[in-house]
Amino acid sequence: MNANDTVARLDGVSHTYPRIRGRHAQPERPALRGVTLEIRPGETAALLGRNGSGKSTIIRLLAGVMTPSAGAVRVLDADPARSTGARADLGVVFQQPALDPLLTIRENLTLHARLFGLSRHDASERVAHSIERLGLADRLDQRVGSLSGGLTRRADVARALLTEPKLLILDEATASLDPSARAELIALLRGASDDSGDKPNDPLTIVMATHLLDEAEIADRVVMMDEGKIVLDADTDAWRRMRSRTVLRTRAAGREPIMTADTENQRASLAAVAAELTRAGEAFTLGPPSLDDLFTDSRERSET
Amino acid sequence: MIRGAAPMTAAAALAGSELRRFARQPSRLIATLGAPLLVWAFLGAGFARAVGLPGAQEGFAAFALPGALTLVVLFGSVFAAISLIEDRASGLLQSVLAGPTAPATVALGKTLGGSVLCLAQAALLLPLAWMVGLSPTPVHVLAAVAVLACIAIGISGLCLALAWIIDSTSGFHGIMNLVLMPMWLLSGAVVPKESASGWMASVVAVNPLTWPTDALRTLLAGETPGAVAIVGAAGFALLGAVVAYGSIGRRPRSGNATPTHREP
Repeated sequence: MNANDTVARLDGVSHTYPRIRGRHAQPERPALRGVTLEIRPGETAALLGRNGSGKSTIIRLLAGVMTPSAGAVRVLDADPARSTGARADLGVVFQQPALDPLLTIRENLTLHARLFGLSRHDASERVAHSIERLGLADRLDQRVGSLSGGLTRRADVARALLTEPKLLILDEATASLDPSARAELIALLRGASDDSGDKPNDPLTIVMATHLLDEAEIADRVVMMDEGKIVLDADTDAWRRMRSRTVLRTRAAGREPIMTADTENQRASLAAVAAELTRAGEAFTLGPPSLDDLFTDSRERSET
Repeated sequence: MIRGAAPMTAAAALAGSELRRFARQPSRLIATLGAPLLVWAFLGAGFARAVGLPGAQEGFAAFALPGALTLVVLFGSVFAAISLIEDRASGLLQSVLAGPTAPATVALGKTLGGSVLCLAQAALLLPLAWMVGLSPTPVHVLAAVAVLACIAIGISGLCLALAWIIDSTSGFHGIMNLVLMPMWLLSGAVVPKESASGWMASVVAVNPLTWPTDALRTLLAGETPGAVAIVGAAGFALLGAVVAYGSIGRRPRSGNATPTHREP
């Protein structure tokens, strides 16, 4: 694979969830609207969006567990819904840990390895290596149902990395974790990404859906989604510039938060408003942009 | 290079994990064996002298034993099907299908695991045949185990196919009461099929569980079943396997493999 290849590609993909009747009734709802996206080898791309923005739908399409209503999905040059070969090169961590609570970590991981066609001997070696790497060696024979949320998630990531995938797909992997467990997992993912630097011809590519800004920090590309569309596709530098901006908020009714941008005019405007508020004795705060601020800004830019 | 397991290897791995899960849920064994045994014991004790139905000359306990065995298989299959619904709700199934395992292999593994469990549990009760005065030869017992295997594959296949399209365990229990229990009651399990008349006789005749139950009863009595019963037993297994494959063996367009609340 060379650097010009794409690991995964969505071409004009739209998806509408059909109407469901009965207990879990829900109306028909479009989730993706003509999304085109290319994921390049070795990159860590974060799909950032609020609930219902379409990022988990992209994850499911890339994982091959469903097909789009329109458009094409290609993973490693194959349709992931039809190609077992393409799916064999994926490691997927869904929102809910995909481990059987009645089985031990060892049994869960061994089952996963066997389904991927590894012999008993190879499965055993890979399980030991993966568990060591994720710091779970002393929990290997503990049933998953008795583990904490953080340890369960770590075991789930170990499962996904077990088969040395070319593409690791994570759907809100740290969303249910407390801050320290989240930081640990983010560090592990960063480590997995860095380790793949040892294999320049076969680097690990990561696509992660998240609504958490700190999780997106490990990405070298941020794709922001809103209402089924991509509203921002930023590389590390552009993303850092956006995150380093300052937002001014007041409690005054009707006054929108003001965010600094790259232009002198906007910086001057922020300074003028701050000075005016100080003179008027009105309380205001200055701080980094929230996810909502970034969304609003990105959506306005994409619309113009 | 990893390219996924051969279907039989993957199915065996899935079936093996089903057996492990079962071993860690003793309540499943108690519920699967306990309820049919109670039904059989109450029916056998209560009706033993009361009934003189055609085909039930050996006594009602002996007559109802094949029905109790098929009920064990039915309950075992229901538990296996519920585990499929739980796998979907927990996201486990979605994860398996995101790997190289084909849905048909999942169907095979689940049917295999569920069938082995049902067969083993029903086989545990076979010694009851001698306790109620039946005297099958070893050959008849082996043939009875084969018929039980056909029943296990048939019912497991039907249950798993239903579980694939039903969202919740409560919904599945409803379907069980509506479809599976009447199928068992109208299979000649508790009332000889010869005693049915009119339209009921037609329903009993086309019930796919009737003929395997008939074959099982004949074998436990130490006799050789007729060709219709043997073909009916094999056909029931084939029906279950085909229905399970037809239902689960397709990759869903928008989410039967995904957790219960399908839209993320």
